[in-house]
Amino acid sequence: MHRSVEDHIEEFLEGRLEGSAREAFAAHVADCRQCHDLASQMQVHSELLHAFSAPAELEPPPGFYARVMRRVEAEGRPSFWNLLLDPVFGRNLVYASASLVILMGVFLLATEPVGHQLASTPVQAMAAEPTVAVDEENLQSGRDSLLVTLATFGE
Amino acid sequence: MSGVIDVLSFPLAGSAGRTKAKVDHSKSDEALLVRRVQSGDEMAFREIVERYQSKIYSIIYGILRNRNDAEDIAQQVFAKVYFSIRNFDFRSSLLTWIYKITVNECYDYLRKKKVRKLVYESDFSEDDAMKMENSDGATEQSAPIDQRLANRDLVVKLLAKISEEDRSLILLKEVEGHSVEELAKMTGMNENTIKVKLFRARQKLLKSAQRLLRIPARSV
Repeated sequence: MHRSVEDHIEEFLEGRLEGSAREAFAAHVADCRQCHDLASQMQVHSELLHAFSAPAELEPPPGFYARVMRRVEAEGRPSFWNLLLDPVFGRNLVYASASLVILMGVFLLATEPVGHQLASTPVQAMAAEPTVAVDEENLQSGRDSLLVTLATFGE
Repeated sequence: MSGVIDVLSFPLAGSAGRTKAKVDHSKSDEALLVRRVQSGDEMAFREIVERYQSKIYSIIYGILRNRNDAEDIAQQVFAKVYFSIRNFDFRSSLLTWIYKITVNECYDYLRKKKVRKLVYESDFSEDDAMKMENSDGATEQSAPIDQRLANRDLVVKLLAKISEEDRSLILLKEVEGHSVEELAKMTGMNENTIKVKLFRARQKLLKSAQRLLRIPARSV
């Protein structure tokens, strides 16, 4: 569409194009097939859109405000999911979770045995394994009782 | 090419003086009412509902042509207004803002329900048909009722193809009958912007119609 028509199409569709602008518009659409067709189609659409006009100003049935407020109450009642979607609650939840993670981290670090390191190879693991302190006295009494048992076996 | 040229001989309405002054929507009586609602005053909300309920109900009925659905969607619109009014930033008039919510709600509803089914199931009563036929400016008075329903069906489908903003603007212009100057005041945009937006929206509607009706496209 040419500029001269594009600039005045709204006034044309409103039916209030006048004076020299109106003459120029008419002269142009009489000569320009493309602008003529587009203006005609836009006019048809404009008329079709009037189908959306209400037949007259209508009133909703009595008690409309009360029904609106009932709906507001029903929609405003916080459900569990609404609570999660609430930005303030969500922000507080994030802060609380972050604090909990930090506290747990501090607790774990504080309770971890000092000097305990994880071995990366089996050899290191065996080397790191604490040697069991052998109770020499108990070991000796164990051997003695074993010898007594063997000596008395034949009897 | 007589069609368009003939229209030019229609009686012309007096041209309104063009004001370029921007309207400050934050200093009107309406703004005071909105601020009262924003601060939790339910009486102010009631005033808003009572001020706009018939307008909103009529707009919805104009689109859906079903009284029960119109009531349901109108309730939904005002419930949305109640919950969202704290985000209202006075860039447009309150009615324009509610109008956008209304049109969006209607189209959400239309998306959920099959468009064709809805139009043919509408409660287009004899009474409504009479009112439409007798109303001034009815453009399709001679068209039979099923032709009118088919046209509505087409318009519903075409409007579904354009953006929410374009849809509201086109409906405010064509259905509510606001002029470019009024739209500029209502939306806080300047007149040229409104004209450009309307023109682009009309082009999109034409392209959609060509695709829908499989008309060979000329350069739009």
